[in-house]
Amino acid sequence: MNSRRPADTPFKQQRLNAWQPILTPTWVIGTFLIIGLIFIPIGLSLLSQSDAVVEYTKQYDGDGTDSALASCQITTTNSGYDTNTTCTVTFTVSKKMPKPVYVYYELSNFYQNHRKYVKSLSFKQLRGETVPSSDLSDCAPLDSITKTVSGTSSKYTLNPCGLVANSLFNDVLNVTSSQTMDEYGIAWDSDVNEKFDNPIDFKSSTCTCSSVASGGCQNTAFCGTPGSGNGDYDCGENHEEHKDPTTGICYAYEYPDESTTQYLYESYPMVVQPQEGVKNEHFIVWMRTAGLPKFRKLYGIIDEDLEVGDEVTFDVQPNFNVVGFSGTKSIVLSTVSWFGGKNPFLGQSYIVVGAICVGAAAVFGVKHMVRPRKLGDTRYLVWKEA
Amino acid sequence: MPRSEVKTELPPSLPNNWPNPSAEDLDERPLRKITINGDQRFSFITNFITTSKYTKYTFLPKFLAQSFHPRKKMANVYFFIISCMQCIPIITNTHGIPTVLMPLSFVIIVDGIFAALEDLARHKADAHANASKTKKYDKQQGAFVTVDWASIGVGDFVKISNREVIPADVVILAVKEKTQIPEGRAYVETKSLDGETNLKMRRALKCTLNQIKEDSDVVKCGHGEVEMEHPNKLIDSFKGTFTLSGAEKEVIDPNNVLLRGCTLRNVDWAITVVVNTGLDTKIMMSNTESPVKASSLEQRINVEIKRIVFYLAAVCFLGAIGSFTWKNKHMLNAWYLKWTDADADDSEDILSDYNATGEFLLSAIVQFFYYFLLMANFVPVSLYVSMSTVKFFQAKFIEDDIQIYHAETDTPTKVRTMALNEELGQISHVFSDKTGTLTCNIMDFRKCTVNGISYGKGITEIGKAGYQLQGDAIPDDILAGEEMSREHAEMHKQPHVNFYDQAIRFDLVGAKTEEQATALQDFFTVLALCHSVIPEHDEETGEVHLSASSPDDEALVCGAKFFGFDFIDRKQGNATLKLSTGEEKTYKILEMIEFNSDRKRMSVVVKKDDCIELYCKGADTVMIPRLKGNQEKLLADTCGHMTDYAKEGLRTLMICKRTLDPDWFERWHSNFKEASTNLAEIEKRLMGKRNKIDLLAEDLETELRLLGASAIEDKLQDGVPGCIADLAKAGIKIWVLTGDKVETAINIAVACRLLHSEEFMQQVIITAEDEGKDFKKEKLKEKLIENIREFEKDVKEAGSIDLVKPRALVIDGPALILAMDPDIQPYLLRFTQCCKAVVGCRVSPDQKRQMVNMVKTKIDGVKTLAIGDGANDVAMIQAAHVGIGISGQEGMQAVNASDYAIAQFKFLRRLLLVHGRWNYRRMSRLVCYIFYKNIVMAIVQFWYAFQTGFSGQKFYFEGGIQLYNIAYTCFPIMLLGVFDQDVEEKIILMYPQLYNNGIRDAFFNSKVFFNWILAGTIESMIISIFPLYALDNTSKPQEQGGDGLLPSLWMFGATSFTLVVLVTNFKLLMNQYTFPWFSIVVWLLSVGSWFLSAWGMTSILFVDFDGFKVYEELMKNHSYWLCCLVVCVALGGRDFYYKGYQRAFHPQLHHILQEIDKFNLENLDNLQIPLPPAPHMYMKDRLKDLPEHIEESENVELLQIVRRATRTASDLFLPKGLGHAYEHSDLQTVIEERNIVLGRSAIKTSKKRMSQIMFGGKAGGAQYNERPTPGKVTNKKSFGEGLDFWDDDDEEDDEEEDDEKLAAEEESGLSLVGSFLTGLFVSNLKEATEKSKEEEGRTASKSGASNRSQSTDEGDSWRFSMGF
Repeated sequence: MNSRRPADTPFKQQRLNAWQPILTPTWVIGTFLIIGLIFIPIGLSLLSQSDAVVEYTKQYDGDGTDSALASCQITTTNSGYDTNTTCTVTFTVSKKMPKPVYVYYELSNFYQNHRKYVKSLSFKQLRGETVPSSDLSDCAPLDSITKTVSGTSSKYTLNPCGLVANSLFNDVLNVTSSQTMDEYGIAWDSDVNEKFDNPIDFKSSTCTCSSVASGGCQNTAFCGTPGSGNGDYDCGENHEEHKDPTTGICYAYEYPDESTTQYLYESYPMVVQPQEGVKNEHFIVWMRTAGLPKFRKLYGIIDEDLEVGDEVTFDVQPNFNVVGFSGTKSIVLSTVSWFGGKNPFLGQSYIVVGAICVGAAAVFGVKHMVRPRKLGDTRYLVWKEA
Repeated sequence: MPRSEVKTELPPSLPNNWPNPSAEDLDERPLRKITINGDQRFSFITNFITTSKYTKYTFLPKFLAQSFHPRKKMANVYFFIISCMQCIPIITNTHGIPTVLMPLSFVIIVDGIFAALEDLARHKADAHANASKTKKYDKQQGAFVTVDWASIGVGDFVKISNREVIPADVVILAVKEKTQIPEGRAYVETKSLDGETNLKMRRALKCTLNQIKEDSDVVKCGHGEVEMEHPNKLIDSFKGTFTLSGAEKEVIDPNNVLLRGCTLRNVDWAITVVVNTGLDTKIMMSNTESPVKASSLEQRINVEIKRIVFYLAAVCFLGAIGSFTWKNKHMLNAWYLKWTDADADDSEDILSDYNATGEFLLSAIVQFFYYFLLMANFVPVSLYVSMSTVKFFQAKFIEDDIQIYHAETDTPTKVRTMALNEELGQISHVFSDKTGTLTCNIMDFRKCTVNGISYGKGITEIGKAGYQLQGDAIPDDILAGEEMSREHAEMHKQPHVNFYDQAIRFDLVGAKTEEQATALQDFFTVLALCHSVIPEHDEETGEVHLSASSPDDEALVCGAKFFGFDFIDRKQGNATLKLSTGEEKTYKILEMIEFNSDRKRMSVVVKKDDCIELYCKGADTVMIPRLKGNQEKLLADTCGHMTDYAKEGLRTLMICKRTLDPDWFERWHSNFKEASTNLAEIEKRLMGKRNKIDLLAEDLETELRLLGASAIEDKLQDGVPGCIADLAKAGIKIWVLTGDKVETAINIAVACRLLHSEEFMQQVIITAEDEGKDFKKEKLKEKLIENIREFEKDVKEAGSIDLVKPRALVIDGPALILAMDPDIQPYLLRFTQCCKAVVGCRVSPDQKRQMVNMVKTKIDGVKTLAIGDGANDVAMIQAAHVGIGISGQEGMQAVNASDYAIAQFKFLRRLLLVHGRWNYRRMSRLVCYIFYKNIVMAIVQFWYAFQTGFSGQKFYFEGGIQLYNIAYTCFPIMLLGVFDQDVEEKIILMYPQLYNNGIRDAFFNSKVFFNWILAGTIESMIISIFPLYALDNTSKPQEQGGDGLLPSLWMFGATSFTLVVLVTNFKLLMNQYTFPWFSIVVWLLSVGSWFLSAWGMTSILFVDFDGFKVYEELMKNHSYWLCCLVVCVALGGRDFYYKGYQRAFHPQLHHILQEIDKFNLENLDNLQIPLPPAPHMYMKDRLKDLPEHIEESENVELLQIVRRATRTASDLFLPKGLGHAYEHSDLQTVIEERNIVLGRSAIKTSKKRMSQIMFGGKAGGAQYNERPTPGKVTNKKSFGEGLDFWDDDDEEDDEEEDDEKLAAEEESGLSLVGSFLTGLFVSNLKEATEKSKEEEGRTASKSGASNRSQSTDEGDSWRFSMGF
């Protein structure tokens, strides 16, 4: 007969060797002391790192804007997108800024993290899939707009739809001083390459600009006949042409369903070029919604050292309305440290936590010196009353 | 049966013309009429049984209905509602997918599998029972044919063979016996019914007995009718009549009935007629479904869940308000949110319109539910699954514990209700059965005194304990005797005898005197003849097995056999003895007057050769007055020996004989026969009235000649006193509830060291018998109040509850019936709270249940545990919070009804103190932690709402949320739940006081829970807000391809979630004491899995669009790691500091013991362990329904005294008085058993202490309540007065009391001492007390540490008290 005797193994008998730490005063004091002594230097170095960051901020719209920048302000709450005005914001560098210098725009009181806002997009649409307008309910009310074109008003599906895409920060900043500002490489590569894509049937190609007046492509060689090996692009059909104002390169492009859809380049012609569409990096940066109502977003990179006394001048075309929500707009120039921009908080928190640890060690130590408890001595034992 | 109960359920069988009876009809329904072997006029159910709950088709609906029972499975219902809400588009945050259904269905499927397996086992058992074979009479074939049990119907003839299990309740028509002359006797083993293994005699009906000699004769009984009561669960009762056509009615009594499940024995076959089938049978009727027990921790969880949901609702409400306010403010100007058409000019109007239409309100309500969904994880979905999994493994480890495995019977501990694992750590009251639980229920013939000479060497364990407590060495000769005795017993292998004394052999053959030899022969002849043992012959081996309803009888018969008086047969009024010479001697038994608890004696009249002799044995209290004169010397010697035996815990019986005059006997016998067949007299006797039968018996049993006395040991189970002592130390109160007589119960209680002699413990004995027929409620109430008052007065006077003489209550069944009256119950309860021990005697199974229920329902916060081995304990086992069955002995009822089955009482110590305590602590931590971690996780999103205009923006990735409870935080806590040990088992066993935390529910109460929730709330706030500032403006460094890109919403969320995972996991480390290697590995894997899966999941665009590549980018960001580090240190540091501080400056017992264990501190001898206040020692503030008028103003003061007293320290070896009289009980054993090396001086100290402890008293009767009066030869103080304690005892001369009173006392049925013994006893005691005072004084002056100055001299005299 099989015995039902349980096996006498350390595991089954719960007699396994195990580490049993005991928080003796030595341990507590020692641990706190060591942590404190490590944290405080870390905090100090973080703080100095943060202090080393050179950062200039100029607010150019909203409450408290310098009167010198009055021309940058939008006063009406219901202004359209294209104000067609420009103003100038100038920074004077008083401390050397090693390259790269990052150009941010900062908005405040803008709740990009509001639930209604964050969820208001269609990621399928952003990935370039064809989404029937009925599937764009997340984007409501900005799934479509009614537009009057040549007297007839009809409904246009927004592509991309939703609050985020259709509230794009559309001020245009141009550096007019000697520096050059790069507006590429400001978004994650993964976002640019994988996350955002234009509609499946979108086609574009560069072409030679022949006549500025016509504003279009004249190079018929570019428009090959289908199947001729010169690309499948059929110039004879619905294609449009466009010349990028900044680079001066001309593009031929074609969006599907143009007649029923309003595309990003149509919504924000000042910011987004038709040949880019949703791959526009300003747009991609914007789509990474911010965590706090006051936030900065990268606008461009000045990849050269700025010496003391240098001036950086921005030509600003203010289109984005912040008065409506009582917010502000600023331009920020900043260098980066080991962990990013100016952030004294992290260093301070290390110092505070480190100090608390040292303090705890001290309190504990004093108490332990004054009234030490012998380990294993029960005289201090207090029974809690039931 | 009360009407209301009848209404609820229709009986299975009804008359044919009663298809749809109204409930009222049922009371008036006619008796069952059964046509024998014919068509029935009633519709009876078949013998087919179903005990399973589900069938294939009903399983799903029934099980689902159970799973979503709104009260029992609240969490399931909650999550079902949440999953429905997740489908509502307007509030969903999961795109309308009910994600919570996944874990929910997992939980339910796991439950379902368990339920299905369980039911499958029932189906199998049912099928097995239904397919068992038996022989039924077939009318067509005219013979008995083998059929299935299921096909038996009411009225069928069934033939049952020897050792066959009886298929239904049947009436015996005839039996084929082994004897020639048919007497219609059958024997039955009722083990499966009541757990008793002895055979019980049953008889065939007289009118059919002689008609049926063989199978074919059954036709003679073919036409008849049985008229009987309706099926009920009363096993010992049966009412019915049997009528053969044309013959007279014969009454069927319970002796004529064989019940389903019993086994027929000692006959060739029995032909029977079936009267109850299937579910109508008594065994099935009494098989009430055992109640489903949930641990109080689980019940508490339900309460806490309600609170948590309330908290959640409050948070959601706050969020909704915030959202409402914010929206009101920003609706018009936050154009980017497009709430209105911002271009419209009449925007102010829009706002007012919006308000007017109540849309704001509506949106606030929507927002409320949205928040609710967002934070649905407040209630942890994984809680129940984690708990059951952990409990499963805990149970496994309990079952695998080799130290609670009983090698002799190969019985490991069995966990039957793993839900109660942690309840084992909180037991405050243990209700124990006596026989078979505390004792082995195996009697050994140990010693005897014959004609004034004591025989039998050696010493019992109890006797040894006595010596130890006195600090004396056990005399070598006694030890040698014990050794010889054991060897002898092993050599002879005579069951139930453990005797060694060569002298008796010589004396038997006349070595001393001829007189002595005759006396010895007479003595053993009485033992061999005067009993009710049934010999059972094994046909194959020819051996004789004795089957006795009383194990005492069996031991005595075995004892007689040992000395060559072998009782071998009982036939036709003769008893045959086989003498040592080989000669068989047959005695004619002329009359037998059986034992009962009133008579306390048994007599047989035997014709021996030509003499007629009366043999009588009985309790000394009833025997002494019946002795004839001129035996004083012999009586004194015998009583002296009996006292010695009693001290050793032996059960004594006095043996007497009387030679009768044949003529006188002839006359007496005819009178007696007449009286005992006179129905009127029988009736009187049953009613307890004065009757002729008893009077005649009195006539016979007088003028007895004393032969001697026997001493039987009912061995306590191994380790019982030690176990009880430890349980008491742990603060557990122990109640012994037994069906035994008062004396027996007290004896055992003394042996177990539950009760002590009157010197040290004031016993309050309340028996109905004692109080006589006019014992009324009022009197009982008065008595209780008086005792409560006295106790309170004493406490007040003594100034400390520890200094008062402890009380013990002994109460018997009949008195309990009165005490259960709602009027008196509070007083009873109140008094029991004053008592250290409660012993209930002669209590019925139902009263046991009532007692348990009383304590369970009337005192707040008690956790009861009932332990028993027999069917009579089932009710109590089911009623108690935790029921424990003793397995491996007899019967399975108790085990089947129990939650845990252990093989030995002593295993209770380990089960409660080690496993229970561990599991309670583990489960408490587990539950708190699981709630905590979910709250931390959920509420972070609420704090974030402050930054998002209270919009309730989700902060985390859905994948993280879903895996949080399954992967990142699941396994480490489960390992803690299974493996963590705050204190090692050897330490726990050394200091049972550790258990006290469980009784006080110190690890899981509202306060503890609240603290965890509060910690979770605060930590989550930091976790939520800190990263927003710490990560602000930060970006990847240049070397990581830094591009100045700042973190976005999802990166903050991701950091917070990382912190949630890290902080909750670090929190776990702070609450874990032992870290085996796998626990560290699992912890690392859990945390690692987070980083890995976070990186993995966000690397696939289709899994998470929002979070795409967030972690990859984040992990390159230094500030992410810096932020994690500082938050973990800050939050973990708080715990670290708090825990270190608690340990250093407010240490609890477990802290100190951990240190001692860990650092091998050698100062055990200096270790002063204050005892915890016994939590239920005096918990009047916890009593519900407290009677008004005991509440006097002084009680406030009193309570303060009590509180103060419990605070004062007292140490292990110098217990501070009554609360700790147990301390010393078993020190030696404890030391040995635990195999712990105490510091040498500790042992020295303890020995010194032990030497101070009085060992005195005696067993053998309930005499402890008497004040010892030195020099008195007789003590006639009756028990009733004896109750009036010590102080009231005046010095009246007992001898002056008249004979009438003496007689009255004896009838009172409580054994009194032959109290000339007490003189000796008391002088011993006084001496020892003096000594202990001296000693105490000396030690007290030496030791300064403990606050011993409080103790008064009075206190000292009894505080080291141990005794019997």
